Amino acid sequence: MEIPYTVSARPDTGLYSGKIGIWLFLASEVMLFGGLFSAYLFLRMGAEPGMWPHGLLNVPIGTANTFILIASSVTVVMSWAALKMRKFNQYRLWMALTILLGTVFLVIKLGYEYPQKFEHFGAYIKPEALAKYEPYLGNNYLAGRGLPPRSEITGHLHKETADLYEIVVDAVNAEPTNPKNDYPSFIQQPRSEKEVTVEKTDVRWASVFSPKHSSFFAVYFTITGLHALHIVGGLIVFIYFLGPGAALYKTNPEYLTNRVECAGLFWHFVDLVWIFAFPLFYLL
Amino acid sequence: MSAPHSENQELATKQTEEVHVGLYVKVGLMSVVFTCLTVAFSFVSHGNVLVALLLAGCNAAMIVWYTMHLRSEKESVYRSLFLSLFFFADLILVTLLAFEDRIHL
Repeated sequence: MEIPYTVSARPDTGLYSGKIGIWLFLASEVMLFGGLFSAYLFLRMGAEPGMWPHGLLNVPIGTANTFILIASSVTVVMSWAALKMRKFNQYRLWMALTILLGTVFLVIKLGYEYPQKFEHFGAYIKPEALAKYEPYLGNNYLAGRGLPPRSEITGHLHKETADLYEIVVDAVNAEPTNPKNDYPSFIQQPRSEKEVTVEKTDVRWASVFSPKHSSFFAVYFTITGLHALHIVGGLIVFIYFLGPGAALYKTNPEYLTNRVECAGLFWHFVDLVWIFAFPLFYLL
Repeated sequence: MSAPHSENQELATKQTEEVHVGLYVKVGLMSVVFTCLTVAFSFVSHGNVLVALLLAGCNAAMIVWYTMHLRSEKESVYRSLFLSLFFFADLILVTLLAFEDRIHL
């Protein structure tokens, strides 16, 4: 039995069935990510002063990943264009490039960025103990400059005992009154050599930068994790189209073209989600 | 691969005018420029949310309009997207309104 309207347009919609299907799916995806971005907004606007972290993510790496996704968006539309013009070898080249770029994105995200976060440590100080850690927080200095206070000491956990955390602190806590540290910088400052001892009784809560660290990282890992899953899904489809699925070109090239177009629309949507996620998490 | 059968060849020839290879490259380059501007503005303005989101919005609109071919889509696609965007805007608006009308305990 032949599936109708895979190549020709349906009279009622004016589109082949796959296309109307993928647009409806993307409409539902807007709502899925919309709900998550709405949660981000809710958590961020409701955060206490100084409790929403800034500058904890690696901006150059995030920017590079944005460029990689944009490039993959171009290569996928080029692969569709090549099929449309019946240039099968070009199609294979562009599709292979798309798969490569998507894989590089995932390797950077899951193989480099995530593990870095799981090695980084932060301890939120109780409000009544903030004065004790003033040399590492610099809140008097920040108040004088009209900037929001700090309540967290971040760095790498050197040692943990029953009562203490020994943290090799980040530059922001090593020199909290250095104007360079007033705002996050594009390139993260190198780790300091300074070791700070924090008593556990002074800590509100402490953990590595995992989802339990803060609302920021909870929503960061949820949205970027879901986004990464979308990338994996897209890559599986592309690998199929480059491999066994490409055999369709022999019998019905327009059908393959339409399939690639639908998968490409999904890929562009994944790119769009990242275009909004990148500034929200890395820059603002 | 063997040459596709004539019916498909005909269909492809008819639709070639929809393929604008140069345009896709231009949109990709513009997208890179918008990303650079977003990064630059966020550091210059110390995290101005509105400017950054406006730039991201322009970037996204360009991709949807040209690369996703929304400019040449049929009405049925516009209808489904309109509904989706309406409810998305509603979702964000409700969140913002919740902060305007808080219950103070």
